[in-house]
Amino acid sequence: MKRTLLTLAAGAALLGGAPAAGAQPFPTTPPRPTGAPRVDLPEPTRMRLPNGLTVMYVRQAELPVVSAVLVTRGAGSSDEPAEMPGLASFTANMMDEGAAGRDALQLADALDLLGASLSTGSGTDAAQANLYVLRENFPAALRLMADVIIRPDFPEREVNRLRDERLTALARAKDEATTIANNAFASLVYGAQHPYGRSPSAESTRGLDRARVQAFHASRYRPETSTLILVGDVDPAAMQPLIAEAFGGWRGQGAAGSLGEPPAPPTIERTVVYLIDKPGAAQSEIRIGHPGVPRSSPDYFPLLVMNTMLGGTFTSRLNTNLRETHGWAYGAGSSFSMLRGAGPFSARAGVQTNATDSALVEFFKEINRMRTEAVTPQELQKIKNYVALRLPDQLETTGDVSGQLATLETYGMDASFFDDYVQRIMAVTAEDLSRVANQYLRPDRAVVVVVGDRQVVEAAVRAANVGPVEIRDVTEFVRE
Amino acid sequence: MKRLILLLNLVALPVAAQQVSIPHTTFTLPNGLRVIVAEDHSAPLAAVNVWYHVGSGYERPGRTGFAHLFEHIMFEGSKNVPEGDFDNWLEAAGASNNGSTNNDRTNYYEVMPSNAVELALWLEADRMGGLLDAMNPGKLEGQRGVVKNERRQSYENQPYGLLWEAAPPLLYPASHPYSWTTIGSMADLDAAQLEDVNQFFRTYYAPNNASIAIVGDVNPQQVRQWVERYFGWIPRNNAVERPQIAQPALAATTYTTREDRVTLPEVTMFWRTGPRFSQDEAAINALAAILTDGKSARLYKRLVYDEQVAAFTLSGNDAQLLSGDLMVRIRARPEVDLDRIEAAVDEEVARLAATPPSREELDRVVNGLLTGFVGQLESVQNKADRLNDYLYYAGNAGYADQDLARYRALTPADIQRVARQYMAGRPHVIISIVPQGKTELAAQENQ
Repeated sequence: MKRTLLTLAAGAALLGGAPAAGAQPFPTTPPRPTGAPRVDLPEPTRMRLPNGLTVMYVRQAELPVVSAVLVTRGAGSSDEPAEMPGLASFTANMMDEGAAGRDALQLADALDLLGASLSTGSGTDAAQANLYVLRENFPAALRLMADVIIRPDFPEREVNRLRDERLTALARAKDEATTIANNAFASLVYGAQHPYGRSPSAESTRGLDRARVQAFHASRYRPETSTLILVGDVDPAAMQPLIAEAFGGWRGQGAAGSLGEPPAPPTIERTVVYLIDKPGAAQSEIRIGHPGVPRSSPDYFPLLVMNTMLGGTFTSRLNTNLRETHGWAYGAGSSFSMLRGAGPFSARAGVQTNATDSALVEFFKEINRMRTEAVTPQELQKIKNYVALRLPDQLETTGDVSGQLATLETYGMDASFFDDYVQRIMAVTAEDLSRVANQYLRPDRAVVVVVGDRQVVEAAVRAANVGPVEIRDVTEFVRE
Repeated sequence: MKRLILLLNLVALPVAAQQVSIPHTTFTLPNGLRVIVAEDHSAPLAAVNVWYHVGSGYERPGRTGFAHLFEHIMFEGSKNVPEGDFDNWLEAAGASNNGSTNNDRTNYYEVMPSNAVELALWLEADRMGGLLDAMNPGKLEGQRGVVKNERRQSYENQPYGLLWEAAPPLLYPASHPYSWTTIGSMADLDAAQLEDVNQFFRTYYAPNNASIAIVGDVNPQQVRQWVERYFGWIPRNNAVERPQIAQPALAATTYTTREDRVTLPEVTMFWRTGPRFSQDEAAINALAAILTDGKSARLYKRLVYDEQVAAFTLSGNDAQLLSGDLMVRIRARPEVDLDRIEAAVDEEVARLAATPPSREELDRVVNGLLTGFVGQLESVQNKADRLNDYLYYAGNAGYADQDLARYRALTPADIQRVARQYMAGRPHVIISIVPQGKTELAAQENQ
């Protein structure tokens, strides 16, 4: 852990008051944060086993715990066969259902007895196994984690059980307005074949079987595309033999799958509102957006600041407008999902049914204002401070650090990302914001999804005139 | 600096042998405000966490949901803080903040780089001392709309969300303050008046009805100076009367069926247990975990893993100031008759009442709880909230080691005993939520 001093005039520009002095009556102006806030940056020790597995250690010895993440690039949904959506996460979920001869129950019992929690899952660009355990039990738990990664048995019985559980989950997916909205948005922005647009159907789920799972595991889970990140009360020298014993024998089998570039997203010609009926819904779930940028974007920092101002924090413009000013929503926000390819920009909220049309208008007003109106120095300073100064909070726990490092590994970066993080945030200008807002926000070529009570909202949504309205059916997006 | 002291047993197992404490100091201002300070210099962060000892259990009929609505108003500015600037100023200092309300208490917290602690204390003091100086009808109207949308989003538009409204009046008589939800009814939210805000603040938001925990990279002497300066002037108020209501017993087992726009039938069962930190709480929590948490947990293994008739099993013992309820919630697969699920729960409870679990079965559960406990202490905010929690419910901020000692001392016989004493054959509330038009799937009496 190294300690870097940030020299920020944090808040001084915003907080008009003078520093408090002496034993006085209650001051009527706020005290200024004084002194440069400190940030402890993780300084990993990085090693490589002969089989290609990268191992990173970060010592954070506040408590006798270890947070371990094994991140495997190319084992996420981006790299599964197009006809088999869900195979990546299904494979990941199957890995702790029996390994190295222990059946699912024996494996779970062994971990539980150690007080360890181990979970396996996958995202878009990588799979992760996450272990959290007290230091004393780390060696035993790590061996079980290695079994799960290297020697999963994929018992037929458990494949069938998990597949049935997925069919059950699919059957109820249409109950949730948020699920419908998310699926529909992804599909309408990227098309139902694109890795960022497709979602599993009952039919594709029925096709998940042991052979496919085994094949995906063999080609995608490999030491040379994986990184083991250990954060906590760990001493690299003492731990190296354990890691070598647990993971040293891991070899990729057969041909490795390549990391492909996701196909270019389809072009959106004009903004269209897709209305999906959810009879009796108390709120309308709104999603607005289009393809955004990849994680490798040179505009990462200006976009981070711009989106935070638009919809990334409580005082953001969208939340202030829809929640605080109008009271139509419990909350509203936006995000850029930066992936290996250009993941979506999306703005979203659940809004009361009778304000669906007005909320749509306000969403577009705020997105347009971001493009056309210069930001005030005060608002820019607040947002930059917020993003930069929250860095210590984002690196607080062992799980925070391992999670941050896992994301960096997924996208081919390392902890040096944090070295100039604060400077790069603070260097963002109002001109940068205006430029990236105009370049990356496209309100005239966006997908708008509204999941709500059609009978109540349709006429008003049409009248709001943010784009032509198309009625779509839920069964197109939740295919049970 | 390693502030959390773990006295580790020399033997690695069982985890249950570990002892934990959270070193801290406490003091009380002349106006009654109780203050807890815990240093933790492991990260340049701190949390300020204020508990007001009032929640929806202090509301009166006709104003349900008010404690929570009031919580929202607390963020809308105070005497020296213009509307919106509570959040603006904190964000400019790199702080996140929030609050929450339950039956018994309302909490507010900020997490920030440690150089912003003074700002957070000043903001908390300004709203504790000066909320009403800046109150206006617009703030009430604005947050009334937000809270109604919180209710729509979290309950009405949420499949099975009606469970949380259905349960309280079945669990408590209408006169009991736990017989309504924290979010309140739409009619009561509509009825709330500015005068209610004034009265609620004057009655409950006083230093002598609050405690504040400051945890993290702080200097305790400096913190004390700030607290004395910023909070010391706020006048003490009349002592707040805690509701003194004996825990009511459930008179009989009842069956209730609700239809919802859902695909899967779900049954939730509630048994009366006991208040927070009452004698059997730890055993009941372990019993709940033995039933539902982990692949080998009795109900999970039987219903999800073996018979494959359920999507999930869930349990929790909601032990509060006046009473406690153990909930077992099971969502079935499509078309499964909930009578079958209910019968399985009864059988598994009867089995534990007849024969204690194995030592290993208990150890699995307790070890998981202990890792979770230690893990929570990684976060300054979780630690601060826990200190306030111990102070309010156990009367002692230093209750951590006793809290954990309860779990370490558990024996299989304790689990059997509480299964008998609180669950097997005891009156309970059964709520079935079924797809519309499928009431035949509901759990019913004598089936």
